[in-house]
Amino acid sequence: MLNELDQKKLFHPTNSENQRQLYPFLENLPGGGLIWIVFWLEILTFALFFLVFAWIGRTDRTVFIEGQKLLHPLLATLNTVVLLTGSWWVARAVFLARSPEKISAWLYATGLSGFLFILIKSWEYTQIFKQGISLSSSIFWFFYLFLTLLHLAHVALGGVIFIWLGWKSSSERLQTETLEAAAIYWHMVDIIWLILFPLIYFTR
Amino acid sequence: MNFTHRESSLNLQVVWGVLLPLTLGSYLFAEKMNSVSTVNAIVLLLALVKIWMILSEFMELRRRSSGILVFTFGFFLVMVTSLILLRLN
Repeated sequence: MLNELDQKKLFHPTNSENQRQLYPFLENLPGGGLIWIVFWLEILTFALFFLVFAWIGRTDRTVFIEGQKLLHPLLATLNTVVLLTGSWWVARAVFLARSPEKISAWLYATGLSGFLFILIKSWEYTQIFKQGISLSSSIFWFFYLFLTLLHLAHVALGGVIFIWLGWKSSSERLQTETLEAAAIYWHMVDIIWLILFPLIYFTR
Repeated sequence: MNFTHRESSLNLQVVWGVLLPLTLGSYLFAEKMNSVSTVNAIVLLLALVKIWMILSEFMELRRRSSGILVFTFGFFLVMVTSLILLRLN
């Protein structure tokens, strides 16, 4: 005989149970379905911009090569290390959240890595703007500033989210799905940069 | 509690330890190498390797949802290949 709870589950499955019955491959997806919709929307949008950037780079080679000479690839490499380190810290926080260990320090560290990225990038922007470059200087600079500022806005949002989660986790236990969703967002920001970094700074 | 999904946090440290030299390697390779086509292909392929490691280990897709891992990585493979082709001389 089914007890009352089992009967409710059988005849009124919850949204996530419904989701699992309809889409079994989603069963174990970290962070839940919503963050993956965000993930794909963001990735598809940036992918389109990357392809347009590479396509225009074929036709305006001289403008692109001259523009790239003014960039700071070493700073971009340092920023990649910062983002990858943040990704490692948040992955560690997700892992530790499954035990009774405190994770707030790891979440704060991830948020701060985002702000360090912004600091380094701001210094690079300052060097570029000092040379009188703006969005309208050339097609290369339009794409460089548009893509990197769009990415920077995502880093800033991630930084705020992780500082807030760090503060929240010091007083209460975070829901696994919330933490995993935030982690997926951070890794997405990292992945976008991993393509942006060689595409803008190194490929010619 | 779901410890079976991850052998230990040491894995994460190892992955991070591999990602850093790959990143520095991209920089050094691009700075030293003269062949534009080779640089374009290698730095983008190194990015693809790093993306695989993040999807598989940091995002836990290898253990949590291998179907989504294959699909997502397949997408990045197509995208990076297209970028390499567009950047070829």
